[in-house]
Amino acid sequence: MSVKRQHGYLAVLICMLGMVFLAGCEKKQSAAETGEAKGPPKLAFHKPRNFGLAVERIREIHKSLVGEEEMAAPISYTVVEVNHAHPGGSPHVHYELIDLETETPADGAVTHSISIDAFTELNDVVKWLPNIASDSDMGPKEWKQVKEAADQLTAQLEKLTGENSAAKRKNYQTEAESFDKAIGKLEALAKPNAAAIL
Amino acid sequence: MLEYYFYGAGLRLGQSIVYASLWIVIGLLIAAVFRCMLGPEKVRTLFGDGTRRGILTGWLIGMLLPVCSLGVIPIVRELQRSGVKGGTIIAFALTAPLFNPMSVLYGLTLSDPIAIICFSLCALVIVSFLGLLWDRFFATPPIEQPEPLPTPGIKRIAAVGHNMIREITGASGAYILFGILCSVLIAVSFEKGHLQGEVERDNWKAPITVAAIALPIYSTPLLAMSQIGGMFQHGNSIGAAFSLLILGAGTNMGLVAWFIRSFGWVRTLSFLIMLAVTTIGLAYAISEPLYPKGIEAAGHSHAFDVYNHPFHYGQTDLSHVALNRMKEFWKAHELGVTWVLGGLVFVGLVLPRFRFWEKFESWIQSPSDEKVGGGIDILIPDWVLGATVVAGLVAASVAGAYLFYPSPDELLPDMFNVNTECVLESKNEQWESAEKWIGFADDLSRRLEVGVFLRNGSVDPFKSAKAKTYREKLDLVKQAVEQRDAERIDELAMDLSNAYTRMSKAFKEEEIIPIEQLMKKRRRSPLPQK
Repeated sequence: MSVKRQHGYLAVLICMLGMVFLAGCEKKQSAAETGEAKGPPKLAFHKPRNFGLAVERIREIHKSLVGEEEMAAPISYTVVEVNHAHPGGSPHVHYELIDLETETPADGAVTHSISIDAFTELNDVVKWLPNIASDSDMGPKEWKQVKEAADQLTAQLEKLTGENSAAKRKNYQTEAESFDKAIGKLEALAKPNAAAIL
Repeated sequence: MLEYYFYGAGLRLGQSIVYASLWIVIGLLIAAVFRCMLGPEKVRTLFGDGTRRGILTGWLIGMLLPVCSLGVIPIVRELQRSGVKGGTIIAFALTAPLFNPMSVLYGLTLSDPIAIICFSLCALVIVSFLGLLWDRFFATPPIEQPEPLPTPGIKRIAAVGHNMIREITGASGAYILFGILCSVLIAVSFEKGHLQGEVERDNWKAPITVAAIALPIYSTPLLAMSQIGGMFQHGNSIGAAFSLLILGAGTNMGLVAWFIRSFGWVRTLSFLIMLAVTTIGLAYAISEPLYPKGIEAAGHSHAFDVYNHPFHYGQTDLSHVALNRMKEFWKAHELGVTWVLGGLVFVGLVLPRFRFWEKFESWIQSPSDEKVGGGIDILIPDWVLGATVVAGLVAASVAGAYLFYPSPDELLPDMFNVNTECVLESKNEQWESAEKWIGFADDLSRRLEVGVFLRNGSVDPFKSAKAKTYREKLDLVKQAVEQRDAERIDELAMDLSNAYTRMSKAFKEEEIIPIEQLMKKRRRSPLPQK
């Protein structure tokens, strides 16, 4: 390979390296500077506090989905970004619930409105079930049954299709019996453990 | 201001030396064995001697030998001196610091095992690609006239020790020191907490940002693997985790300096750019397919905390805090090898000033007058000795895995103490101390799982769930500690205590699996059940 050609390759490689470093080391701009508000990550403020409450909530959503009445309005709440930079602490953002009717966010504080429809909530709570159950005194045998039931429900929920909530609800109603059965299993598991976990 | 940089750099320097000591000593030993027991010809044969399997051999030996990207420096110097092809050296130099039996085992429990297997295969793709390109375009330099091997017996053993001392106080030591100093410089250049919010799944720049920062930093295989586990757990960018593994654990500026000195600027730059491009390309390719299911993004990452400045700007009493942290770090991570490394450096710097050292060196190099072998004193060929030492190191690495990952019976009493410290220090609002204990507790909970996996071939999902819940509680306590949230800390500390009791109970109820059943189970599924 000639020296000139080697230099040509070198120039190309240096440019590529420069681009990689420029892209990587670009100065971080705050949301306020860029004007784009980055949404919060998936938050778990609607995560039930224990297994009994989680199963109860699943039953409530199931009832509202199979019932004749209009679907319940999505749960909505507001969170405020809290940026912590205490001396000695690691500065980063956390999210805290804020009630805008009774509290006023600090000047410049970034708030986000979160809305969770019935299907999203149902999906979330079902996926959280093994985790919620493991945060209780439930034994290994019962926990494995919860895991199986949760996996089964998740698989069933993933199969549900529909362009909008109404269409999904219709499909849900056709499968209502199998959902009811799976929720029944969870309720049976929640009862003997209620004293320990509630 | 000066204090901020001085104590920050001092702490990071001390931590890097303690982290690296074990791997550097192993690297020095392997290089010395190659030089004094195998010799160039046998080293070339071991590494495939110009055959097509050379790169694969480099990758495989790299996977088995327990060294880090600093410990690999004396070995690659020896490989180059022996005339091993450049592509094979690259395959070895990049793989050895990334994976070893201990780090792979650790990785298997941190995320879906398929992710770690994919990471290993992607590393193979990168080293094969770069190795083949290197061999295609760059010729291997001519081999130096090899030194005669020392006479078998005591002289050969002394020669191994002598070579280790010569390397650590010579060129290898200089490259290693340069690598550590550059990593320290990078650490103190970034403020505490830098990158915590920059490696999210939805940040398309995350793999590039991490690649740019990870290239000059130094990380051990275990440290990098635990940080990758943390990134999986926090739902961060998987591409960024991959960049951190390949470039953070795989390279450092000492290794880069050796490349420049050995191969020149053009080849080194070409190599680095190709390495960065292939790593980033693969990082983007695997980022979404390997994203763990059922994980909610935490919105931040602690994987880079250890590569940033250890103190907040404006923090006071730094000399006291730095000294205390270093003492605690020493207690937790020093395994005795720092003394061995320090001893080698001391001997190498002091003894050559005395006349007897010259005599000692000429004695090693002189042919022996004594009759070697005969009777029960069997003359073992060099290659058998060399191969035994290398195989012994691999076996020691596997045995080390058992020591590093004890059984629940051995680990839980220690963990009980660590957890108690976490709970008490948090409740007493001893924030700095609580942060430290939380890190230890997280690490021990992972070792607990790996210990069970090592002994049983799998980890019961119930136990994994308990350990995961415990770590989630630790994370919540950590957040509250970072926020200095005195209002919530009592409740969270109590939750943590309960989660520990449940986890401990789950792991104590260990089933004894009959050996026949265990063998059957291993044949069916070699990986942990998730």
